[in-house]
Amino acid sequence: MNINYDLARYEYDMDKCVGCKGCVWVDHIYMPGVRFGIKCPSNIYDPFDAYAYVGRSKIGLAFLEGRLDYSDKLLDVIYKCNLCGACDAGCKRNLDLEQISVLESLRARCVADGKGPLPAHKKVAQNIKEQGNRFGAPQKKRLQWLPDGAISSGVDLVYFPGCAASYIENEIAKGTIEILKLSGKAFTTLGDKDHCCGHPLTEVGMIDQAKKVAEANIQALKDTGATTVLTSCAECYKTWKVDYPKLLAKSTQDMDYKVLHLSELVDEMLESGEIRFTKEVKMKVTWHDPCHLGRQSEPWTHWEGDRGKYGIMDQPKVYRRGTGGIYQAPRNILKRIPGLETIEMPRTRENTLCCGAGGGTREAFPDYTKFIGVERIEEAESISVEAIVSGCPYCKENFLTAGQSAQKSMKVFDLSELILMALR
Amino acid sequence: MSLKYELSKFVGAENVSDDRETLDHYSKDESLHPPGRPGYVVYPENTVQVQEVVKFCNAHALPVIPCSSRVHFRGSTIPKQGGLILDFQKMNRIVSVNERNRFVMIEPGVTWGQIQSVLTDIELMVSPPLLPHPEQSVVTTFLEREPLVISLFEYSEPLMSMEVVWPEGSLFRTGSASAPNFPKTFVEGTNPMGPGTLDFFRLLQGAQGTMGIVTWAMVKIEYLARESMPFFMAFDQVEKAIEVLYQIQRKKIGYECLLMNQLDLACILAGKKEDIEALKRTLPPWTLVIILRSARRRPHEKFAYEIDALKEIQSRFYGMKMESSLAGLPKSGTYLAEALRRPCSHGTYWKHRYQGNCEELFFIAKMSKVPEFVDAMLTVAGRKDFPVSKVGCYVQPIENGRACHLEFDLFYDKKNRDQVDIVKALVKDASESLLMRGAFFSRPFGSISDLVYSRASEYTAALKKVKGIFDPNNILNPGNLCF
Amino acid sequence: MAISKEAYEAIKSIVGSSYISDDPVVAEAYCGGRMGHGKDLAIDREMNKLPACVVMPLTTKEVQAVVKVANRYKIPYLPASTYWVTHCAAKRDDQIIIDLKRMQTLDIDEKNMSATVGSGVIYSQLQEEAMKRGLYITVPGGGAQAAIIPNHLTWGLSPLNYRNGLPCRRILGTEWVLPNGDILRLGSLSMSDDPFWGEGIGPDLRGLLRGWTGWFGALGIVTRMTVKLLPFQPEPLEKFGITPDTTLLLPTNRMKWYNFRMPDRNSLVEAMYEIGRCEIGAAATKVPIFWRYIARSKSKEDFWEQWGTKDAENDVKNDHVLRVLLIGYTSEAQLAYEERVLTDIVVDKYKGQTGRTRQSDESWIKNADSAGMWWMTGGYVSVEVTVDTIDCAVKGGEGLAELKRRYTPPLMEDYGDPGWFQISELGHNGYLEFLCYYDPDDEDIKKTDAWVYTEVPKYDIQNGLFNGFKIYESPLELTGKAYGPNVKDWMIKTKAVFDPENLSNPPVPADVDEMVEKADWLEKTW
Repeated sequence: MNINYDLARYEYDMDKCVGCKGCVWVDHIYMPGVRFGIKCPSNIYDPFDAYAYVGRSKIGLAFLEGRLDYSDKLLDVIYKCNLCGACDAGCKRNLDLEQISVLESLRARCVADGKGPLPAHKKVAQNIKEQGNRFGAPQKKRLQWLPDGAISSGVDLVYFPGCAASYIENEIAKGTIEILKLSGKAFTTLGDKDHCCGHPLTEVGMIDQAKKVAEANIQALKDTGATTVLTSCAECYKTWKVDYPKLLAKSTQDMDYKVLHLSELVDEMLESGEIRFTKEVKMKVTWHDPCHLGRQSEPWTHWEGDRGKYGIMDQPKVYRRGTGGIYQAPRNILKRIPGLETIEMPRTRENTLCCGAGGGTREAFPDYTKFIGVERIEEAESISVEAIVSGCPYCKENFLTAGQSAQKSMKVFDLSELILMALR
Repeated sequence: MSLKYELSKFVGAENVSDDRETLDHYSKDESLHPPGRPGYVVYPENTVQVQEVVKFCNAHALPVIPCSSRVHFRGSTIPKQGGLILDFQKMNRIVSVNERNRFVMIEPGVTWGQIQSVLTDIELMVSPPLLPHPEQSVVTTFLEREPLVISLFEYSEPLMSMEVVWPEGSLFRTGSASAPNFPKTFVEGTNPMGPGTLDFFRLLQGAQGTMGIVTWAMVKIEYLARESMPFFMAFDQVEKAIEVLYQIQRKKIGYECLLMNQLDLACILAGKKEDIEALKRTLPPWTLVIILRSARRRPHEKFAYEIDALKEIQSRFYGMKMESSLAGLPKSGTYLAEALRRPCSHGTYWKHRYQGNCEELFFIAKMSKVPEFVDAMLTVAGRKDFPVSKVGCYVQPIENGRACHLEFDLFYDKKNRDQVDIVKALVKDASESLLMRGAFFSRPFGSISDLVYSRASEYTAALKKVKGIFDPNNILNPGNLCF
Repeated sequence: MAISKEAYEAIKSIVGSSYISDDPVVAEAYCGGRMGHGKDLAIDREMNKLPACVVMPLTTKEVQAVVKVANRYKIPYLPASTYWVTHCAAKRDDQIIIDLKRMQTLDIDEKNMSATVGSGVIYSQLQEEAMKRGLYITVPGGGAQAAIIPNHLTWGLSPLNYRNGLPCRRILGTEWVLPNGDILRLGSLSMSDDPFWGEGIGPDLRGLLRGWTGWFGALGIVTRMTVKLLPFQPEPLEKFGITPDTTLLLPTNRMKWYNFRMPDRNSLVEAMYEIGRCEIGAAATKVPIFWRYIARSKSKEDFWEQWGTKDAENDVKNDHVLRVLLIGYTSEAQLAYEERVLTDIVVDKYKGQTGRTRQSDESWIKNADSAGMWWMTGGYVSVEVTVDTIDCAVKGGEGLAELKRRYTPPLMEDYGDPGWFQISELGHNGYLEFLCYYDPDDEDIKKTDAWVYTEVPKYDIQNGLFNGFKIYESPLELTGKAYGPNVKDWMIKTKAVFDPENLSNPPVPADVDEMVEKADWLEKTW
């Protein structure tokens, strides 16, 4: 088992949970009150402790120690979780336990034991295997949205749209390349090797399969000669930046490429004056921090140490606490858009509430996913904004779907759309 | 052997009395409570004697009525079922004064007159209620949860640890003094809580001597400021006064702070009945009194910021004046500033100066409801033919104005049968009317006990269970409260 | 051991099928203990069991109905809100957990300074609402994640007690489901719907609700409580920073922290006394040196690199830091005045040196980084909380530090730090807390058990300390007999009267006694 997904290596992180529920509550400094005080989406949906890390830690430990066996409930508890990282960042305020690693490793164990993932996930895996995308749509239509002559050769920048932007949110992909065009940035793609990043495999514990996808994608990138991957999908961003080195037992800094999210690039360009917003966009919006762009996006540093007395590491470890997430870049962008008013939601930055779509729940627990989406929309409603803006197509999709199902009038935009509104 | 003989074995013959005059004295008090005669009066001199008497009484189902003050106003020490009075006037030692940790250890017979004079010499004081009778027991005052005139502290009860004799005669110490071998301990007894999972001090407070007998108590003492700056604010309407009171309290300004109607204030300021009438006519309907006290360090700088804060509040109320004395009474400020730190002095107790007697009707309320309660009280008084001009009113904010003690003082002549009947009827009707409006009679005495306990059946049931734990034979002051 | 099907169905019909579970996976999440204060000590290891089922009621009526079913079928139960202490675990095979987290009502009476909360509301939630209204509450040392009601019932101690009073004073009208399912309302709630006041009628039954500490669920369930809010200052505290460095920036015209380096412990203590006498300040505390090391460490390893040095040892011996919070409740001028007085006392009179102080608060106003206590070694327990005089706090701490040497290791080396002490109630009281850290995986954990459950209680008795923790960390046969004396008898009588079936969190308060019977490595010398 890959060292980073070996549940046995995280016994300490399960055993030493002290029950403070930093994994559940919004950081107390930022605590907004009763209504939006919880940041763990699964615990909002199901208030039993089993559905927060405080409970999953004990369950995981019991499972590891053989005191709990597989059951429908166990799988439900393990998989009805967005892997959003709110618990991980929350715990690291005080204790530095590796919660995401535990949660991912539980899933990896399920898969290794043949008990996971869930049927809906297996379908997705099959789609990826057969068509190179999670939706099972024809592979050859992946880059169909790309206009002729859009790409250049011999450039260092690869635009990686991801499955969602390629198939169900084309406006994001089109919008991104339009932005690149308007900024004079030449780019290319992975062409017929453009493929799912593999996140739907990683997130459900299919580590071996995910690793194969990672290797293939990295090779495809290498084959272009480019060293920078640009994406407008937070999931793909985090996958390339964090999951790939993790799958390969390396560090982010050791990878032969660099990953950029659209927000980082545009922020840089605005700062340097390469582009300027000239059009007014009169709207009151709020920025939703995608989990994989925010608290989960810090680089991965490989570590093979052990713990000794008091849990002290025998080798120094670089902790990922969510401090260095990409929070400010999108905010800078929105601030520069003339006429746009941006108001923060009560749960923001490292305390953001996941949109509800991640971690495989979109496929396996659609009611849950919608519920969380509605919860987040209601949070936006509480601050009287017209629209939610985000930097991940899955966030956008879920807010739209959930909003429609609950008859909410909240508008939803991807960041690329607002950038274009201000540029054109 | 006679009961008197048995009791004498514990306390000495000189400390047991059954003579008629003595028994008559204890069978009544200043209240309207019907008389009840004890069989004996016993004067213990120490805790061991208390224990022995109580053990004996418990074994023989003989009621014991503990009594610490020399005067009584509320009927709680009148025997309801016979028994013996256990009078603590001989247990009146100021055991110790601890300036460093600011507490004093006193026996129950220590009175306000006694304690303040001792502490004044070292620039200290026990925070008093409003002009307590000099012969009133300090321990009893705090056991009865009388509100302090200083509303600044969040600890409105200055009690710390206590020693108590339980009804079966065992000795116990509450709070941190419960530590074994106290006082040869690290602890000095300043924590009132516990021990264990019960706050015994809470069960003893408000109990009117029905749960246990306190044989000494530790009480907080405070700095006796060297300088004072009194301020008076006059109001025609109580509503406006309450608004100002809220703002002053919220800003934590000053020490003593209270609101009174003209009658109560006149009774305090004037020494004689005829003076009270005259003074009443000159006083505003309502007066808010606040006393600023100098601090131990940089005293005038403290005055400065507090005065500025008061002025800022004043500016929000158009036309409101803030004076250092009452109009026409240039010495009233200094007089009151001093009086509020001491027991009632000079002659007749202030509540008896006007008509000879006074029946108090008091409860806890939110300050915002004071106008409603005042209206209700005066309405009922009118209906009962009690002159509204004889209704005194005293509003004491508690703990920065979170609530208040609201007191109606009904002045009457006990020797006048008709007046007595009117006052009794008024108390009955008024308490029902006030209760309906949300008055919280947290310290019920006399007939009000029956009224409130019948309304609070769950509380009463639980209280009786607690009583059953501590006093299964119901020997301590039976007939009081709901017991 | 499961509860009967009939009982399960009866409870399910009360709370609904979504809010009851007897699934072993769900139960495992509530195996409780094994977390928080006293994690993995003997009580955890020897006593804690999986609950038979977990129930989550929403209202007092539902709680009452569940308790009545429990009585009907003789099912032991225990209430819990945030599980911060190791007592929140089932100790009987058929015990059910009544998880109160769904009870999240919160109403504030701004004018009369109180808040009425349900059992699931935590401190940081209330503090947020209170501060918007120029009010505040004392966030306890246990942390802002503690639920308000259970904390008021058991602890509620913090440096802010200096102005805000001891926790038992902050309880107002209360709604209480007794162990047999009857409802008892305390304070003004006993006679009306307005819970604004806490005492009375006559004897105050808040004295039954808690003492120096509480019953830990062994005398029924409080479902609604009105608590005091205290006057604060009107300026907002700006929320700042990203995890793990989040903080509240103080409006320095109305609030300020001060760190003073005192020449020695004696001058620190005398300064505290004088601060209390002068009635200035909102808090004054001396913190253990290792907390300062925690605050500046970037990781556990970083802490240990710094702590395991001679410098650290010297700091403990020679560093005497007095930390004072001033709040300008009345005005800016009040703050300025108090600052001058503070300087007079601490700097001029007692020769303290003003140290660099960040004007922010991570730890007492809206958060308390108590979870950081486990960071160093994985296990933490306070063995002593005595509230009495400051002198007592110092003596007690110094004595415990000396005694602790015999238990170090397995306890973490702290170079003789005499604990955390501070002043309460304007200096009328002092406070000592003696914190200990241990590795729960240590092979010598049983020696830590002995320290916690028998050695410190014996020290308390010998020297006359007044330790709130000992009610649930020592045998009642030992401390319950010694204190009072015989407070144990009153506790047991009370328990017998109000919980004759012994269904409310058995065997508390005698759980340590039960554990000691099983733990043959603990010497029973009483």
